[in-house]
Amino acid sequence: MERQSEKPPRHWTRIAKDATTGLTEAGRRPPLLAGETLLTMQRGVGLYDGASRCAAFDSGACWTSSHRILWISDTDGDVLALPHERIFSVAVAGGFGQFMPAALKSSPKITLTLSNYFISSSSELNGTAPETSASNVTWKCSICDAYNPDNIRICAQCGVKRDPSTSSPATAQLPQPLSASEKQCPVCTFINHSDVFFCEACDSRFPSAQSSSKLESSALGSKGSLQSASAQNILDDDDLMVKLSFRQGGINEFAKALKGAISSKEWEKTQKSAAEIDGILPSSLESATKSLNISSSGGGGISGIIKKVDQTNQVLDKTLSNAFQDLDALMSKASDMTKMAQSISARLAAASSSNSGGALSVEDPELIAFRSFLVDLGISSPVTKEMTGDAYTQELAKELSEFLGKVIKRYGGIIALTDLYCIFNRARGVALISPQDLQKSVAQFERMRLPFRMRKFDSGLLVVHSSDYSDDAIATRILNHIQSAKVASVTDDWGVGLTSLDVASREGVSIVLAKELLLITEKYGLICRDDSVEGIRFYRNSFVEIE
Amino acid sequence: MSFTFPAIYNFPPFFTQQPTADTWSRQRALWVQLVLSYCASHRLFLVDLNELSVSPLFTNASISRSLNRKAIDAVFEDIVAAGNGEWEDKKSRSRCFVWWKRPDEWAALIYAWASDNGQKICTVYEIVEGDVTEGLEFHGLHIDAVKRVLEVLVRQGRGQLFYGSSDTDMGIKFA
Repeated sequence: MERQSEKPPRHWTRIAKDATTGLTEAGRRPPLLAGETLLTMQRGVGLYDGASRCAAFDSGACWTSSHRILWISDTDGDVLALPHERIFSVAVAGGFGQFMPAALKSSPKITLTLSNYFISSSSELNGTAPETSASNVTWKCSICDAYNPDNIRICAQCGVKRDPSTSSPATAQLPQPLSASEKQCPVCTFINHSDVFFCEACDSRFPSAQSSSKLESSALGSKGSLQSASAQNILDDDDLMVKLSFRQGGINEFAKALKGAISSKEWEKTQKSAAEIDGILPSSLESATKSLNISSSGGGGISGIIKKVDQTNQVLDKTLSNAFQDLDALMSKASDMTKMAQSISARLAAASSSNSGGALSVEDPELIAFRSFLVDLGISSPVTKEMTGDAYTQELAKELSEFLGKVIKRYGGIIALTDLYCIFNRARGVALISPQDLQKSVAQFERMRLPFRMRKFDSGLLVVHSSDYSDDAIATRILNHIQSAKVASVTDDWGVGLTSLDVASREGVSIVLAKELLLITEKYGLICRDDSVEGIRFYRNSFVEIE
Repeated sequence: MSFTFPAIYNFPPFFTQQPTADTWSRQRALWVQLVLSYCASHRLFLVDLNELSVSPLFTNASISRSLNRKAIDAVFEDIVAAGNGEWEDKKSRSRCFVWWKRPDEWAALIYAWASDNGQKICTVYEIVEGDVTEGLEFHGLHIDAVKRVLEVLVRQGRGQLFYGSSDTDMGIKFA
């Protein structure tokens, strides 16, 4: 495993690389943090380390969640993450030469500029080297004494290479600022006001640690375009840039979702109490009313008519948004509901396990049923068409496979497609899928090497079963049921046999499915049938045993 | 003469044609066995399938099951194919000789009896109904069946048939 040691590009953190999970690479979905929801994904995304392409991270699926950008390698199980809170700005560069030879063309890219405010703290957490912290430090040329930025290796003035022995002397002697409103230039020692980025005497750039807090505030203010432009200049540095190359399109949707996620600052909300989650709705209302106020101050003439039309439109918008308010509230509460369901089920499990030690080990059947309902309500971030676009079917198949992994044991390893449709949609809670979508995703299982298969019985019944659930295993289990039935009735030499109804209750499957299982076993020659007016009963195949 | 049915006779699936090919062929083999031993026990030589299908052989009253006609036909196809039966009426296939002893076995028995007792010429009637064969195995053999047996002897060169005015007048000259 040489790829194991491949270092992720700068700023990215490897959060998972597990060959241990049963899922194949194609079947992996990113692991989520508490309260995190997936927003959109795009395939064929390559990572850049600064300006250069990373061969090891060239092709993968890129997700944006409410908290992070996640990148999952196509070739191995690498999952890299970049938290949104580090992103300062998002820029889209639309590629060129779509019809040129491959060597000349350039895919559209998203360039993320990171705020270096977080670098020192997050790099400590992530264990990556804080190689970018010294990005704005200057070095002094040993030949011409000119000061150069640390990230260039050749003196801009005389072209002489940097002498490694004299590397970055400037930072070593960096004096502390004199007061909160003043700072000393590290180059010429001139004392400047703390708000400036360049020394007023020698024009050299100030170290980033002090300027970055200013950047933060200017970014939050976001009205002084000049100020933010100058901030851009300061940070316009390879070291603080993360590039994503979109080789299979979808860049605009991705950028839109990413910007939305960054501006909504979902990650801050999870740190607050859950009660504050619904803060989005009042704000949208507020903006609606604000725009209404603006339009009411109109005059006459054509502009008045236009304004009036606008006004009507806005009133319509408002009515619509009011109408869907409840639905939106439900959607935003979905993750809370899921959380609550999980906590209740955990509590119930704890209660029953403490009970089972004592005499009260028999559980209330209602309690069991209740818990199974809670377990069913378990998909916190359902895949939607809007999120995944073209890859919808594949992503849905992955989600389905994950879900089946949890529930299929309760159904004896095999479940009718119709039943699956019901419990899967119940688990999604919101954003229900159509039967066609389900059937399409289920059909993907084999191609995507997911551990489940769809199967069509001769009767036309469609079922989904785990791929290791073979006919042999089915036949053996059914035969066991039939033999145990024979033992139960000792009065008759041949026993009474089992109907598909009996098998359904013993296996906990539907009658239709039970019949199919019996037919499989019959095909194996392990059982035989007695077809009478009372219906079909199945017996152990005694024909083969008699001489 | 009481016939004891084998244990499988009380197995309900025995009376249902099994859809699985292997099981069904095994089931047919068991039926062939049963039919032959039943006919031997009841000394049935020529059976009518319509009659036999309602007989205890194919209808088990105690478990109220009976084998359907289609399955019975299939069983008899097997019997004929194995040389243990012969259609009397090849077209309609409703009457069948059941050779629980094959024709050549019968022929050998009759020939042995004839040579033991110095019989040179005798009629068919004498062989199957006559006092001299009383108690012998082929006594009571169906008249049409015995004709086929005697034809076997002719083919073996051990006898010569001569015909009278009726079937019972038909005779054989042993060589």
